[in-house]
Amino acid sequence: MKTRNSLLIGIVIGLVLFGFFEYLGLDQTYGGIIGALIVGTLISKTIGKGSEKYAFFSIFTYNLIGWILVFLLTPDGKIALQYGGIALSALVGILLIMVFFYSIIGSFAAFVAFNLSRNKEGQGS
Amino acid sequence: MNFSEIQIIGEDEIFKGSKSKYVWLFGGIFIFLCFLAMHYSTYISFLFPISEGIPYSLISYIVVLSIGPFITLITSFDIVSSEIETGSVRYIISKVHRSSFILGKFFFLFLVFISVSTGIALMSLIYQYSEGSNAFQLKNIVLFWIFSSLYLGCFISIFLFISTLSVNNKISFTMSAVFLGILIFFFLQGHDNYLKYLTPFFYGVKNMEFMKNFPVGAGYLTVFESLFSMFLYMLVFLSMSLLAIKRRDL
Repeated sequence: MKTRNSLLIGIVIGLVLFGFFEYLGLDQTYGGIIGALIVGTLISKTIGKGSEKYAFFSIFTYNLIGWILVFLLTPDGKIALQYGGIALSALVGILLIMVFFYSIIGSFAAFVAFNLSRNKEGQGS
Repeated sequence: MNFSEIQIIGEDEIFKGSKSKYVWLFGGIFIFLCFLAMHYSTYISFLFPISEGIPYSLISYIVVLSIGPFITLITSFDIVSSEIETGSVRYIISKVHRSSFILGKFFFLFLVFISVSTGIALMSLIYQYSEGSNAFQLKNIVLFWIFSSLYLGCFISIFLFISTLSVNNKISFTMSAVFLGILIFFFLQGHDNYLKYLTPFFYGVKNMEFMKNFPVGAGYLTVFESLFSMFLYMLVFLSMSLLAIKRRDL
């Protein structure tokens, strides 16, 4: 499978998980970490060697899209956007830091999953 | 797995290993940092009750909690990955079992850090003894020795696992630093968050309570519970290292 397709699948699955955890009302931290672990492992299985950076990119992208949708489509998000000011900047900053950490966690999950898998000779992009 | 093989790997690392001097050097630096903290602790004596004197073992323990993970990272990130990078691991695993190789490496590092903990504990004992009065508390020193050894053992097993997964020292160092960052991130999520149970920091900080006030009666159970959870944490990562070395191509 091409790397581009794997990335796209990772982003789509990540978005589905993001929406699912949002629907369940699960804590953002747990949801973010579980989603990152699942997507990271999945990308390492499909891409193989060097999947860490793709996992990072994919997780960062789906979280970013997810949060933009939350801000644009939910009533709470609209209130936050209308309020604006320093509070919104701080909120966005914190969110970006959290998304960065989720991406790192997903990247680490990809590293562990790839190195723990057998028969790595057949893998690789 | 064979105990004589583990012993051979461990002895080889201690007496002949090129890394041995480097590990002992950082162990020495660690002891020196604790010595500095204890020596200058009179400046922060106002933080503690005057009647009990300066709790040297507690000060040393705080130093171990904060600097210990970084010293462990520096000394153990390349313990297996350097052998994989140079290819010398192939010669070793043709003579000994893969599990013995990992356990030998682990026990070498664990022994070094137990020695470091012993050195710091003895230093705390000397400081407490020199202070005189009723400040002499052997119980706290023994607790410090056990808790700090286990705490550092948890980090050794984590970095050994990452080193086993890595193909070279660069990746091993990066991933070890990343994982340490993840652990700090988990710990900073707050007291109500369950992620704290995934970090050795939580168990280390929890043990500080026992060093301030040793539990009596049924409270002994909490000390054993804490020791058991740290031991379990170490065992989980060690098992993962054994699984990783058995599964990977060398």
